Amino acid sequence: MDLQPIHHEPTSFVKKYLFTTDHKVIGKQFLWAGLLFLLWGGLLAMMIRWQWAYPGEKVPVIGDIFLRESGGAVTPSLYPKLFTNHGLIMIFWAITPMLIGAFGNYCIPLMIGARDMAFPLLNMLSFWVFVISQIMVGASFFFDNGAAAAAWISYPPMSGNIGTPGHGQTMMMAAIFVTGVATIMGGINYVTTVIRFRAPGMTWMRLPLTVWGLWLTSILNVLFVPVLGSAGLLLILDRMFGTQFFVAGANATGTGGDPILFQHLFWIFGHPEVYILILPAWGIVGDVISFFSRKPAYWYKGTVIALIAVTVLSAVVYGHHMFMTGMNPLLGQSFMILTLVISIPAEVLFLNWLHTMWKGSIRLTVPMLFALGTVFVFGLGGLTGIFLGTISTDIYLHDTMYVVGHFHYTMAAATFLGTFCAVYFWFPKMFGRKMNPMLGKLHFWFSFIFITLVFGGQLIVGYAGQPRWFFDPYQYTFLQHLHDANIKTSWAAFALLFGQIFFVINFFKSMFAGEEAGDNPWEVGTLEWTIPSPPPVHNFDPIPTVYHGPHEYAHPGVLEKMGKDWLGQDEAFEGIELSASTDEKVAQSA
Amino acid sequence: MAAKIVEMPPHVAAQNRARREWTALLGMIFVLAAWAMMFAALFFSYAIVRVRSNVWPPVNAPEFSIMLPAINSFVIALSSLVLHRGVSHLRKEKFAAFRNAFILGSVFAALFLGLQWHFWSDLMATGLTPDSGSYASIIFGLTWVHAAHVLIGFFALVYLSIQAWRQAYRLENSITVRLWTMYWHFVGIVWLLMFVTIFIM
Repeated sequence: MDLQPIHHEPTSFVKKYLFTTDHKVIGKQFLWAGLLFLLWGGLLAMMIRWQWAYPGEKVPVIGDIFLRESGGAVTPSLYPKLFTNHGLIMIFWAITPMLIGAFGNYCIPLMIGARDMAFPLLNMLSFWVFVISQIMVGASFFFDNGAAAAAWISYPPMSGNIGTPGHGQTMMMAAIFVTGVATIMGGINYVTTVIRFRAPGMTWMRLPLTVWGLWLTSILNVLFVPVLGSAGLLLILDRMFGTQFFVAGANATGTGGDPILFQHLFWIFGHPEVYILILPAWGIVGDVISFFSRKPAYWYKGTVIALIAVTVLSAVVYGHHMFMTGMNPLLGQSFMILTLVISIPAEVLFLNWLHTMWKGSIRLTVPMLFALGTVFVFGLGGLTGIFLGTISTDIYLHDTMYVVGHFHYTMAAATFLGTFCAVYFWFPKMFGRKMNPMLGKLHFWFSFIFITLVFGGQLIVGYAGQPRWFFDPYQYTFLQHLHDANIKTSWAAFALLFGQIFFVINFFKSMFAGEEAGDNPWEVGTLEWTIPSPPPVHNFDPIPTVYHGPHEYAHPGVLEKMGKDWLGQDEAFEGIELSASTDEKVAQSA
Repeated sequence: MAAKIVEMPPHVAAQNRARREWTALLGMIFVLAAWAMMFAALFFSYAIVRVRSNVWPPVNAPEFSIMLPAINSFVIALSSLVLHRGVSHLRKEKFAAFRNAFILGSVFAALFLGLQWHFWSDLMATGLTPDSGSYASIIFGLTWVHAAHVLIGFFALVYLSIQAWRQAYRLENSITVRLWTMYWHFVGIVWLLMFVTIFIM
């Protein structure tokens, strides 16, 4: 038996499109599941924004359909359910499946030159377990007292039986546990696949940055999602079986545990989670910027080291979410310094991206625009984060809209734009057709401008003192002057939603009637572009040999002899030894 | 495929098998790393509750015997030993001894679960119920989660025993048996840690 046997193409519909072990189909399944929940999470966000602009007024369209009982308005009891489910759905059921589930599955085997994942059956299970968790989220809305309402962080005592009675909250915690299991299964697969299934010659320093990002993300997933699983499990035990892990009380007399304990467990997972979401986007951006600057990625090795450094540091900074819990100031300072240290590798990444573009012949394609947008909004998110990582400023900004603006720039705006960068970039490979660049650019400018304005507006009102999670902020006189700013921000959010229509039209139209893409529409050198679009079931036939890194562009020798400015990873080029960092050689010969 | 299927030379087949087993083993290592983090989080919870209390066990906690958990520690250690022997029998292709070892291991697993059940009932009889504070939460919560993993291991061992009875395992596909044995050792180690930290310390 071969190491990577060639499977026959399944013929039945069920085996081909539903219970498939083909990583490419599983990737598409994750994409569909994620897009569906992205829409759902987005609509919840629109209802929150409506409430902040016009509190108590009838929500247009959505109100008529879903909120008949209250005459179409958002009620105080519904409101916490909106932001709770918006946050959880976006993180666990929209961004995670799209960025990690879809592109992790689709890209990893293709980019490293493998025929499938290391454990195809586990891969299939991962998706279907994920679907079960999605069904559980849907079901949580139909219990008495409704869906989960303890915010995405689910802190006790809010998430305990007294704060949120009813089975909706329990169901949501269980759904998080189940989706965690799915994520771990996927993570184990990705980590093992990259270690074991790289094509001959695909050394670690020749991996595309996308694969590096996804691989490091998967390591964090494997190690830290289980901690969230434990936290969820203990919370479910508290809610269902009467244990008192998170019930405030005196341990010495055995009357109760400690609600702060949940915050520890949650953030031990929660801080790596931020990087779980952004690392794949960083990897994709690193590749795409090099591809469309037609230049090798500047200091590839430095980018890889910086990604690894961020991964390691992300595991030891969680305390900065808990400065306000009465933490020992000495411990707080340690966490503060570790947090601020992350800005150094992040800086390396940004400088490398800028250097990559420097003097490149930049092609402003749609994926490139989205990549640059990702860099910009993550820059804003990173810079605003410094003030939250610093204890003295955090004391003022804690639990204000400033926090909301900051983490949306990093976790929402950057991952959202990064995901769409990936969608536009790999769409031709996935479906064999090109997307319409005009509609793509409209989608980009709407998304980029308004996503920046929405979260910028939140930063401003937060800085002015508006706390997060308020149902009707204008009941307080000191917040009434912020009403205008909130209305403007809300309209930016509605415009953001409107801009997505261009994507939906483009996506479906291109899938069926787009221009034929051919094998390599972007003229780039990574392995997935050396095979037909869409690729056959077994991907490679035979498995390619890799001769150099993923970013071999603008090499004068190649240009002279082959008449093109790029070189495929599987193309040997005689006489010139190429490596991952050809910058200096290029600079010398230019 | 148009190419004629050619019989693979035995040494290439063996090499490929070794590589596939290494891939599977690596996957299992990451599985256990994930599960180790999950249990580490539980121990972390215990540590936080414990260090925040100046008296432990709490002043009004009822006394109970740790006899059953102590016996269980022996049971699970013994079962690990038996399975370890079973795997080495399989390596030496002594299939009957291998089968017997896994049947014995399954019996030990069932015994462990039975004694745990007994222990929980005894605890509740002394008045230490799951809802009687953080002390009880730690004892019940952690042993419940652990027992759930023993239960999974028990089902796996029963399945492996049945398959062994049907002579399904040879050296070529022994990796399944070896990986489940690894899982069982892991569950055993977690129990010993729980026994020492919760019942002795």
